[in-house]
Amino acid sequence: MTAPDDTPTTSGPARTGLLVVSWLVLAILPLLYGLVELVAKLGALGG
Amino acid sequence: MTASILSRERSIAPPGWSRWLVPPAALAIHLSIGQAYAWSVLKTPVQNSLHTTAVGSALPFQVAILVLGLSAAFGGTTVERRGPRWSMVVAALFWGAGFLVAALGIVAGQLWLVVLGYGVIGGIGLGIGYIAPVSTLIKWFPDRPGLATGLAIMGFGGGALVASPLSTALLAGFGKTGGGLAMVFVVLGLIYLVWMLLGAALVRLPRGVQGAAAEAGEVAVPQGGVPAAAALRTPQFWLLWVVLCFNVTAGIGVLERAAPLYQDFFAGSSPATVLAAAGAAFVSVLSLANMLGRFLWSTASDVIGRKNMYRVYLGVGAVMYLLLLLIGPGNKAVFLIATLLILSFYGAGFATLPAYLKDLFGVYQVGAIHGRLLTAWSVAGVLGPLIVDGVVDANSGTGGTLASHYTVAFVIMIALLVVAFVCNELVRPVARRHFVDGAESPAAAVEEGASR
Repeated sequence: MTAPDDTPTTSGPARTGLLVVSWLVLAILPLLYGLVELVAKLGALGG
Repeated sequence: MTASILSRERSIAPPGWSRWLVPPAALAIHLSIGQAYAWSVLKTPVQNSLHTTAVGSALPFQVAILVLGLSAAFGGTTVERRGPRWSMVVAALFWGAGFLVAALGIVAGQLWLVVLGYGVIGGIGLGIGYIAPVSTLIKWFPDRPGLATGLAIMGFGGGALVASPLSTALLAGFGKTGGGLAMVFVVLGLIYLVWMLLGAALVRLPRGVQGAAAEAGEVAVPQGGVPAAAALRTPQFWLLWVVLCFNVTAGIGVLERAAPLYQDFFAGSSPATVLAAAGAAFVSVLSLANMLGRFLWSTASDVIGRKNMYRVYLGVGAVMYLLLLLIGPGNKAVFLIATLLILSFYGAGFATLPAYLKDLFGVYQVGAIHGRLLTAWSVAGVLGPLIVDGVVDANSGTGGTLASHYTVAFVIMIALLVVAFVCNELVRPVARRHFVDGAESPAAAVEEGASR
């Protein structure tokens, strides 16, 4: 079960870079946007 | 013929591929389809634009959740066979196309077209998109399935957190009726399409290294388990079906009437405008508890054991409902602690389930089994509002405090949680005869978790 893949093997800095960019773009930044907006909304209600 | 770029074979990870690249791929899908929880932001503009009723504008969401359950149930086996990349691309196309067809419905002023687009076409994207990443993560993280699936399913809870301000900003920019509203749907559809396709491009299946020394960063992938058709013939499947159905029903009891619940429990304590604003804030905090519960409790299940975690969700959940009844009205601290815990258990019930299924049935067709179990969600989606709204409506005008109108509904919720608790206690390891050849024995994990 080791079929070839069209994606080149990543290693070292390239893999770290891909990890960081993937987490940031696909997950962390969108969630952060939502959280910041939520905190702002709660803050406005409190103020 | 060379295998399609979407095929299962071409999705297998090359040597050195980090398994930590799979959670962001899964999150891209779940954060996108989690938009469904933010339908309420679009509901009023749709209602006004199409000159329909509140019931009519709720229809696209209700149909979407119904189709989610059905497509997850019927599409689960195909998802397992075709692999995650194909499944995620299909989910992206359906979810994105659903928004575009709904936009057409807005422009044409046809509610049925919005229901067909968002509810039916989008609903298929929801169902396929919900199970595909979960099944893949379980294969990558056999050592920590609770953490992995908790991360992904947290995304579904967090989707509304992203979609809500995004939709509000788009509505402010394009307008809330006619062509402007249609543009909001088009832009949302395109954003989600791209976001999900990026996730699909990143996702990989683990290479089978079972029985061999795993290379650095790779994991041994257990292959065996119970086929989905056989799982349906086991009592364990139906016991968990009841557990999920009643746990979700209990959560919806709070979630569905969150803002009025707060206002009814603290009626007269503040001016109506302050109460309304506090009720809205309460809804936001609940969504955060729902999201965080999915990750935190599910991750804890890797240490404490799946059966024990469900004992907490159901047992402590019932106690929290009791506290709400006895000392919740007028006591904000108790009210907040109880409702936040109930909502965190609601989310955690979803997130811990795939890992529980993996413990019982193995990884072989865990996605397909998970999909079939999600029909319990569809039933609970009807049951929860029916109980709470039905009881509260029946009691309105009968005198007493507003909080007292919830008494019967909450007693029913406690009873449902107790029944679910008993069902969880009855769960035993699945008989060996149901396993396909070469299956490892995940049965030990269930008992191990139970004894811890």
